[in-house]
Amino acid sequence: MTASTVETHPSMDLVVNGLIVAPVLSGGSGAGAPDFVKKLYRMLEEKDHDPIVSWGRAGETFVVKEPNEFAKAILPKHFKHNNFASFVRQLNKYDFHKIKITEDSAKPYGDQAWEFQHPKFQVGKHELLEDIKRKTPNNKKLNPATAASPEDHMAVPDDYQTQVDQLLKTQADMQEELTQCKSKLDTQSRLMRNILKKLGYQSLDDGSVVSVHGKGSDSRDKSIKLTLSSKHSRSHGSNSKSRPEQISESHSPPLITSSMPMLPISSSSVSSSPTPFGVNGATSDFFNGTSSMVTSTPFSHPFVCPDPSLGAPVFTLGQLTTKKQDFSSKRPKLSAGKAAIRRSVTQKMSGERSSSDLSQAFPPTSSEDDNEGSNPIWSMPPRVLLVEDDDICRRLSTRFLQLLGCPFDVAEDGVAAVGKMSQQKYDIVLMDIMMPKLDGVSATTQIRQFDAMTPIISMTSNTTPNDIMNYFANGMNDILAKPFSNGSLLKMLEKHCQHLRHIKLGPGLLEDNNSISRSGEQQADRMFGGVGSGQGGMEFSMNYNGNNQGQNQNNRHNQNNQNNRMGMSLGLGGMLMLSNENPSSYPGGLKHGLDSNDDGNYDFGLADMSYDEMMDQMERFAATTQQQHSDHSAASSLSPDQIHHRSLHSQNNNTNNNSNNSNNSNNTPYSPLSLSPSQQYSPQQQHHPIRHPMPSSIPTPPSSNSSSMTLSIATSAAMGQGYDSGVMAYTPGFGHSQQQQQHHQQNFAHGNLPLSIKQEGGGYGPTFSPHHHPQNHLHHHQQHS
Amino acid sequence: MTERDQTRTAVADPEDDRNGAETENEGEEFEDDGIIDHTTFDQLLEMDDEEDHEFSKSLVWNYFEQAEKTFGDMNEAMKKLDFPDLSRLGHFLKGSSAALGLTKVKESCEKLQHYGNRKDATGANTITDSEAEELIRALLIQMREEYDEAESYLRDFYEGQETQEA
Repeated sequence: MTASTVETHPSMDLVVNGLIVAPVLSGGSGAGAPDFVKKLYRMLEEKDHDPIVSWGRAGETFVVKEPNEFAKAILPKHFKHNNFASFVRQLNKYDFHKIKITEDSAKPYGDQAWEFQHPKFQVGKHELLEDIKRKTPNNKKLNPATAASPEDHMAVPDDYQTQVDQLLKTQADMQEELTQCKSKLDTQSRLMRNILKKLGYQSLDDGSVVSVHGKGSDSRDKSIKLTLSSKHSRSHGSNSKSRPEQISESHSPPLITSSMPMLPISSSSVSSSPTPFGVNGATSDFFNGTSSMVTSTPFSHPFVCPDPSLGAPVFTLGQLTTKKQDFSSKRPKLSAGKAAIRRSVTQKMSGERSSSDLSQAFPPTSSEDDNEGSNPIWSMPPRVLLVEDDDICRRLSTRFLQLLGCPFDVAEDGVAAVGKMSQQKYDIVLMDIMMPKLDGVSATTQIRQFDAMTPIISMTSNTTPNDIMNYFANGMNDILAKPFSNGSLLKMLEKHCQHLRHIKLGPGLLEDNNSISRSGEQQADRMFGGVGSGQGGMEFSMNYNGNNQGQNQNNRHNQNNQNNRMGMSLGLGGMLMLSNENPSSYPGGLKHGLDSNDDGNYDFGLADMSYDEMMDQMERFAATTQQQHSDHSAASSLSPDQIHHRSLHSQNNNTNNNSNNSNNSNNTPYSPLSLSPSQQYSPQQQHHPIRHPMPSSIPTPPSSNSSSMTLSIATSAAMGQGYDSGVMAYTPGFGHSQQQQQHHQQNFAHGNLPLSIKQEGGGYGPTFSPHHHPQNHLHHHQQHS
Repeated sequence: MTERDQTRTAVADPEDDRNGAETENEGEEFEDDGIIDHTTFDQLLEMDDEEDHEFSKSLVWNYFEQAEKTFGDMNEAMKKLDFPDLSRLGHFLKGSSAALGLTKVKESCEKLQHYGNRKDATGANTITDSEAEELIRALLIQMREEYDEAESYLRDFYEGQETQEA
C-alpha cells in the first residue's frame, strides 16, 4: 500500500497525495478560525480571482475590485450566495472595516472597489485567522472605535434627562413670564380704559375708542383709534370681553388720583374754600345757563370739560346733568339769594329800560327756572380770578360771584395769582393789593408780562391819587375801593366784561325762558356779530374741527387748549353755543388731543414701549387733557421753589422722553405738560432772585438731549418774555420730534405766534402781542445749547 | 323777651350819645347805628338764603375768630413795640371789619395802621415813636371795646334770628 503523504502546509490545504483533501487552516487545532473567515482566506488565495478580488497592495487588506462580478461569480463559489450586501454584513460581523475612499484619495483599485481590513486578516498570516472573532458586546467594548458607546448608552439617558429637565424649567419660566406680561398688559389697558372713561370715552374690543355717549353724528366727531399692535390686541383678545363691564363698573377718580397725583390736586385746593358746594352750584349753573341757549348746529362738537378746579371733577355734560339734579334739591335755598341779586340787577336794568318789560321777563324766574339758564345779565358769565388774602373778604366776594353765577378761582397771594394767570384764562381779575408774599401791584406787573388783555381790577382801601397812579402804571385796569358793595362789584364786572353780556335785552328775548332757547342761535349771531371781538374767536371755534388737522399734536393740543379754555373762560361761549341742545345727548367727553381729526388715528405707539414708558405715556396723555383745565393749584399752593423743582422734574422727564422712547430711569410721574406752569410762570429775573438761577440750575442732561433741554429753558424764558404762554400750554414734549420743537421754539423767539393763536383773530382774551422785552434773555439761553 | 329788650337797651344806650354825631354817616336808621353799618351788613344778609342765615353767620363767626387772634397778635407786637407788625395787623383786621360793616372797629384799625407807620390818625403827618406807642396803647384798648360791642350786637342779632326761625 502506498503510504499517503499528508502534507499540511501551514496556511494551506491539507494535501493528501498531492490532492487537496480538505482545506486545512493553520493554527494548532485548525478549528480556530470561523468558517467564513476561512472561506474568505481561501477565496483570496485563488489567483484566478485576482481581477475581481485580491489582497491589497500591502497585504493587510483585501479588495473587491468588481463588486458585481464578485457577487455574481465568486460569492456563490465560496459562500453559497451571491449577495454582496450580505457578504459585507458578514465582514462587519467579524469586525472587518471598510476602508473609506475619500474624494481626493487615490483610487488604485478602481472607482467601485471595496477595501476591507482586519488586523488579523493578513496575507500569509494564516495563523492569525483564528483570532478573528465575531463582534460581541464585550468585544465592542474592547474595540477602541466603539469603546465609548456602552458608556454612552449609560450616559445618554442621564444627559437626555438633564436636557429635558432644563427644557421643562425653561418652559416653566417662560410661562411665568408670559403670565406676568399678560397681567401687566391687563393693568395698563385697565388704566387706559379708566382714563378714557374719565374723559368720556370708551374703548372697544377692537382697540378703537369711542366717546361714552355713543357715536357722534358728525363725521368730524370720529372715534379715536387707539392702534395697539397686533400683538397687543391678540393678547387682549381673550380678555377683552370682560373689559366693557369694567368700564361701566369702575368709578375711577381714585385710580386716576393714585396714578396721576398732580391732577386732582386742584379740586382739593378749591374745596378748601368754604363753600365747595357753592362752587359746584356756580359751575352747574353756568353750564345750565348756557346749555339752554343752544340750538342744533352742524357741529356736534363734544362739550368741553368743565374746569375741575371749580369743584368736584365733572367730566361730561351727562354727569353734569346729574349734578344739576342734585343741585335742584338745594335750589330753594340758593334761589332766594339769587332772587335778591336778580332783583337788584333788575332794578338796575330797569333804569335803562321800561321796567314793565323786564318785570314780565323775570317773574318766570321761579326757583325752578333759576337754573334753566335765564341769567339775565350774562350770556356767558365771566370767569373771575379773585386774589385776596383775607379769608372773610374772600368768602364774601366768592359768595357774591356764586350768586351771580360766575365761575371763579381764588388765589391767596400774588404768587398764586401769577401762577393761576399763567395757566388759565380769566375774563377778569380782582386783585387785592395788600397781600403777603407778593403784593397785588407786583403780581400785576408780572402778569402783564405775559397777559396784556385780561382786566385786572385792584381792590384796595388805599385810594390816594398816588396809589391810583401806581395801579394804572403797573397795568391795572380799574379800581374797586374796599369795602365794596356787591353793586359796585357787579358794575365792575359788567364794565370789563361787556362782551359777555346779553347784547340786546329786547322784549323779544326776555318774554319767556323758552324764547331764549329758541333764539339762542339768533342770540349767538347777534352776540358774535355784534361784538367784533368775539367774531374771531367764533370763527376759531368753528374752524376748530375743520382746521385741526395735521400731525402736529402740539398744535392740536394748543388748539384744544385754547378752545377749551375759551369755552371755559366763557369768553366766547361760541363753542358751547354750538353744542347740542340737550346736554345729555352729547357725544360727551372732551377730545383734548383726541380730537375730531378726519384721520382720527391717534397711535400711541404702544407696541414698542416698555411698561414704564407705556405708563408714562398714559399718564402724560391723561395729563394733557386734565392739565388744560386743572388750574394746577399745585402751582399756587407750592412755594416758588417747589414749583421750580417740579418743573425741573417735568423738564427732565419731558426731554428724556423726547429724545427717543427709550426708557429712562429719570422718568417721574410728572407729566411733561406740567412744564407749562413753569413755563408760563415766567421766571422774572428782575423780580425774583429765586427764579434767576433757573437756567443754570437745571441739570444738563446727556448730550443727546441737550438741545431739547435747552429748548425747554428757552421756552420758559420766552414765555417769560411776554409771549403768549397763557394760552399755549406749550408742550414741547409728547411725542414731538426735536425738529418740530425747535421750529416752534423759534417761532416764539421771533415773535411769531403759532397759527392756532392767530386764528383767534381779534377774539377776546387770548390774543397777545408779544411784549417787547429784551431778547437777550432768550438768546442767552439758546446759547446754552 | 325782656332780657332781649334789656340787652338792646344796654347796647343802645352808649350809642345814643353818638347817634347824633354819627347818624349822618350811616345810611340806615337803626338804633344801633355806629356799631354796624347796615348798608354793608344788610348786603351780607342778602346773600344768605332767605330763611337761613347760614352763610352770613358763619362769616361773622369766622370774623370773631379772626379778630380774637389778631388782637392777641397785636398785644404781642405791642410788647415788642413792633410797629410795622402792628401796622400790618391793623390793616389786616381793617379789611374784614369793613367788609362786615363794623365801622368803628374798622376805623380804629385804620388808625392803628397809621400809628404803626409813625403817622398820625389821618396818616398825613409823622409822629415820634413814643407818641406812636402811646397812641397805640390807648387805641388797642379802645379797639377792644369797640369790638366787644360789635360782637355782642352780632351775637344778639343772630340769636334773635334763630329765635325767629325757631
